[in-house]
Amino acid sequence: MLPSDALSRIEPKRIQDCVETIKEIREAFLLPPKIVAQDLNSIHKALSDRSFWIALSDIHSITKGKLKDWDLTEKDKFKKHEI
Amino acid sequence: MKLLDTLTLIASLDPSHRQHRKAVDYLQRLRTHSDVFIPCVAIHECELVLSKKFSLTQRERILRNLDLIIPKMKIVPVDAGTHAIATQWKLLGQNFGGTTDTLIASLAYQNKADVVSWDAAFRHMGVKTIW
Repeated sequence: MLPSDALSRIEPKRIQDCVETIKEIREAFLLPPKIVAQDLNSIHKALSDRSFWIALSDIHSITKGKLKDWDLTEKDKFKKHEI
Repeated sequence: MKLLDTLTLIASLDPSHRQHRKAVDYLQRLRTHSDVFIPCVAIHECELVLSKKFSLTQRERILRNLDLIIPKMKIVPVDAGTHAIATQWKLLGQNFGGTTDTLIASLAYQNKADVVSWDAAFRHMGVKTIW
């Protein structure tokens, strides 16, 4: 099935949501504006990217600055306490 | 095949970490590249690190998000064979890292994989690292 055929089977509202999602991602990460909703792969990728960045941003809101020094020196200290 | 080390996972979690950007790139590759995996022991060690720095509530939130980020089919389990290789290295006195490093190196050996890390311990155990 061609991507355009597959797209025609999706509700217009759903396609619009995906296009909005792609715009959101591009704006949030300062990517150059470009129409990318031309095939299903780009829509799937956009949705997947969004869930990735939302989850990672939530982690960052907790961890920011608290793991910045976690490196080999810290790791060596930690090894002494390893089970 | 490429295996993410705990250092890479930890660096991806904190935007202030000096290796953050590159680490996030590798974390993303778990979803986009078919040859990138993460050992289950790296997630376990990450949780041990988190337990030293964060409350239970914070850890639960971080781990629930990590569960969304890391595809389950990209997590490599440790089996008895992995422990056997790690034990052999210990017998020979060649386990240059801690227990987790030795298990990750053993997994790399089992799967003919490279380890994504800047930790020299892996090279001392004869495992190729990428960073």
